Amino acid sequence: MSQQTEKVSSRKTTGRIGGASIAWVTLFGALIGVTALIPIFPYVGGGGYVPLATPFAAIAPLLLGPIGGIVAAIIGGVIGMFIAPAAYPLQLVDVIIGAASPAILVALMIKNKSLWMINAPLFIVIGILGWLVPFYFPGARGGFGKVPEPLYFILAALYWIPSTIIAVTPLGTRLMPEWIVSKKRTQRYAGIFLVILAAMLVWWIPWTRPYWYLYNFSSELGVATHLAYSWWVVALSAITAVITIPIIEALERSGLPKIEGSIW
Amino acid sequence: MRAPVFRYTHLGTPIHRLHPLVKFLYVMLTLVLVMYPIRITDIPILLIWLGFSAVLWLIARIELRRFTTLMKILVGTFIFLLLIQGFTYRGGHTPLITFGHLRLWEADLGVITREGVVFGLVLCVRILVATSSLPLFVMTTPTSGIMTAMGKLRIPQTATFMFVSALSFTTLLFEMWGSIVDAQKLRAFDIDSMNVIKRAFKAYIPILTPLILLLFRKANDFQIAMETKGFGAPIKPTEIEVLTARPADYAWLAFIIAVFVTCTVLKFGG
Repeated sequence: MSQQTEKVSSRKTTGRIGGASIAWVTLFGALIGVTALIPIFPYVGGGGYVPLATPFAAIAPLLLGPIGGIVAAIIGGVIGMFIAPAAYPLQLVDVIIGAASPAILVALMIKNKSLWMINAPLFIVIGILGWLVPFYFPGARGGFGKVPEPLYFILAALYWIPSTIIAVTPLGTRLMPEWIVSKKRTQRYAGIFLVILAAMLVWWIPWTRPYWYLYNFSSELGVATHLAYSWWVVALSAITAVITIPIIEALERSGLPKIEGSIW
Repeated sequence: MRAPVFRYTHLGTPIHRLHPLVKFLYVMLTLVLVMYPIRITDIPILLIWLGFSAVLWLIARIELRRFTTLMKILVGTFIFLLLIQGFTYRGGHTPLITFGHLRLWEADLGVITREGVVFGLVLCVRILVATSSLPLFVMTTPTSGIMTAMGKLRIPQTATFMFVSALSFTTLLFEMWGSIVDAQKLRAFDIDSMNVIKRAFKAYIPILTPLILLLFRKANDFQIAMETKGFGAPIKPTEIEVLTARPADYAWLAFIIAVFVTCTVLKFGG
């Protein structure tokens, strides 16, 4: 391996964010912004699309380190909001739920080895809030119907219990952090897929609820959407992992200076 | 990749001359308004704000084709909302179209009700209100104006710099994306002929991998240029554009707030 590829960018200057240079973060932010114009998945039920920006925001912490990745995702979200307003109809709210949240959750999962005690309670809180909002709070006062229980709780739990289990078991605390930097390709695929899956399952809850509130989803639709998206989040995570590996391998061979906290 | 339709157009209209912070406040108030809980009876409030936005679009002399583009993007959402609310609205009791009867918890999924369709219409108007404000801001405010306005809001200079730089790099990214797609087409790899599933799993890797490598190489050059020009030096930098508030800005500010207060009073006072 050349001497150049061994360089690690970690100087703490004003020109860097969490180890990544501001220029890298800015350009990756621009890329996330531009990819808001590219649809990869239609919404279940129609009426819009998930842009390529979402998986790009999710992989930003893997490429730029946790802090640099989150900042790039926020910049990308704001840019996307400006150049593709229809992909971010809720504007700043969409920047948070559509761009920043995937990056934050993936960043937390990368650091799960040391942060599992924060991640697990956070996932539980997100899960419980997602179960309560909007059908219990604001509930009937906000014009929302009654959901059938325990079915609704179980369906909502499908999105946060697997991630919580991953976060607290050795799979998340020991194996995943090792796999994502492994030289074995299969381990790396598995590690990156699991990191993204655990993050995106939890992300789905806060991503959907503002829309349900604004679109006044009926209880039937709430149940149906939980069912319809169950395969979708897995597919999105798989696509994201498939896109990420070649990029990481290319970066490792590129001779570009490495970034502290990134996985390449 | 579709080029962005909602980009700045240089015109000399009162909306273009309006202080960016006033326009930013209009965007924020729109967001607050659409977040209010909603009932069928709220449609006049939404229509007042939508009418107000339409007037701003007209004064800003924004071409009709841009509005048409926005509508084309939103039409799928509207059809979805009308159908879903028509079938599942809880307060629906007047059948409009009956396909059969399929009771599921609180709704009869075999019947489209009049109340449901009307409520769907209200939601469509709400979405239209939400999406009409930001394009107006983007299409009438130059990047330098946005940057100065962010500075006035005491947003850190590094954040502002990154945002404005990223915005200016979007054009470069479109060019790079176009070049890579053309190069792949020469190798008989045609992304346009692929369906959604194939595109999601196969199409993006040969485009995104070289794109990101090129991008990071450019970022290295950009970092050197920034450091050479003294980015991060401990001095107060000057502004590209000095913004001053004119009496017209205060008048518009008062007008926007007045319309917002009227809508809020109608919503919660009635």
